[in-house]
Amino acid sequence: MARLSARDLDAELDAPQRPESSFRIEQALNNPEFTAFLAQAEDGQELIETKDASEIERRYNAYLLVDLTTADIKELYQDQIRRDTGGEIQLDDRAFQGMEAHLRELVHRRPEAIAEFGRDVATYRDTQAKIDQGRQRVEQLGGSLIPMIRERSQLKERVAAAKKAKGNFVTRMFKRADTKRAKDAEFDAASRELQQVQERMRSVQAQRAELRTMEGSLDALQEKFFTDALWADEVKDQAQQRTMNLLAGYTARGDFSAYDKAATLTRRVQGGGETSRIQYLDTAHDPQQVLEHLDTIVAERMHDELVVTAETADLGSEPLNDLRASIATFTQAAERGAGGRGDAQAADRLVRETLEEVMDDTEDPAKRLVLGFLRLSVRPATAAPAAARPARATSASGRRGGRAAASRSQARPTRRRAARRTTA
Amino acid sequence: MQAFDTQRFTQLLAAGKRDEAKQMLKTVLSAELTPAEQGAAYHALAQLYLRVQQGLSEQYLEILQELLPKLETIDQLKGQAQDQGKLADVRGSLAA
Repeated sequence: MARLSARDLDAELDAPQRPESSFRIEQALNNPEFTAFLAQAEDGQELIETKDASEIERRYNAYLLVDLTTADIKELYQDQIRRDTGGEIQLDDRAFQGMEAHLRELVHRRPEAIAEFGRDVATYRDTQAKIDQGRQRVEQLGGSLIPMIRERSQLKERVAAAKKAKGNFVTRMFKRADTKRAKDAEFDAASRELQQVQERMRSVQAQRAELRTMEGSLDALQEKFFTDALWADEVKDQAQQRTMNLLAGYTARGDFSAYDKAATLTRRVQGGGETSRIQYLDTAHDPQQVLEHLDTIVAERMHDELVVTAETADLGSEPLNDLRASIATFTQAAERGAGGRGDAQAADRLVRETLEEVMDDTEDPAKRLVLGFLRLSVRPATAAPAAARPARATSASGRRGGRAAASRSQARPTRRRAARRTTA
Repeated sequence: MQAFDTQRFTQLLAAGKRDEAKQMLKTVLSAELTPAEQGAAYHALAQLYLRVQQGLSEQYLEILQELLPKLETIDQLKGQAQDQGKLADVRGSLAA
């Protein structure tokens, strides 16, 4: 039996699967707005004349989604991104008009990218809805126990902070007496309050335990799980905050050092095996340990996603795409030493230096982003470790890591192909 | 952004004319972005935001979904224990 080559397999996987399409070409061509839009494309007239149904369908479906996608992106920026970055990323109407213009160009260049974004938005919203439902259920089941656990956790933090402020023997020697007294009083007050809350909780549990022995042990177990759920909440908030700090850094300050940090961390993480899952429950609820762990996780995820975004993003017009392709071709050739054009480091350096010089001179956040994404295509060394990452089939980030690796192996991968490869 | 002559860029690099290649690259990169190119950058950022947040949310949801059935079970067991306790109370009062 003849075996399929890798190229044949890719072609087969990329082939559009539309056994039964309800699309009617007349429906699209009778829409005067769409035909006028189609005619603006380089190959528009030819498409209209030849009535290439398959291609017209791809573009028509994407065309219909442009307004919805623009509205989705607008909502994302005006709501979540602005809020999560503390107002550091705020776009004006001009930027949104530019985004609409870009999406309209995308209809002709890569129409499926528009539906892909829509799917990302839908998946994100769906996950948020599930999270909201889950949180509500936790609150319902928790009853009066949850506020008490929250109160205790806040008091514990206050005690820890007061203890720190109180200082040790050496630092206390250099503090004024009244400052020491104030700090001691603060510490004592917080400790007393904590004790009271713990006694209240114990008495609630003790009363129940007296009444029903079994119920007492269930209470303890229940409390543990509620504490875990609330802890997971806190960790998630911290993770989001750290992500947004990185994102805001890219646009507001043009600080791409976070990317290098991410790449370094990713390499370091590889040696440790499975570390990608946020191990909320394995960190003994130690905030410091969690924060350190989160920095690694967030940076690693950001690295994965930056590489995927840079490789799949349609950053503007043909000249820009030509430039990206040219940079990639050159650095790859230089790395192999083809044509005696010198070493890879020199090639990287030339492009990177130029990009950094221009980045230093520009204030426009969108331009810094474009340059930053271009810079990603100049760093083949950073993509290699992630591609060699061990399979992590069970965790969510493992699935995404697989997608990133699959994506890096192709010039322009599709999610479907990446997903099928991961499954295979 | 103006058109980029890929062929010339590669030729310059092959000929070791590093400064000229750099200048060529710089000229192209320094050009103003069109509104659509700016839009493309913000579109890419939104996509990055969505994917990173989605990844974190999935992991959080995983934890939540792991905990919820346990909490539901405890809730049920507690309900049963309470019912049994009440039954025992009634039996006790009847026996007395």
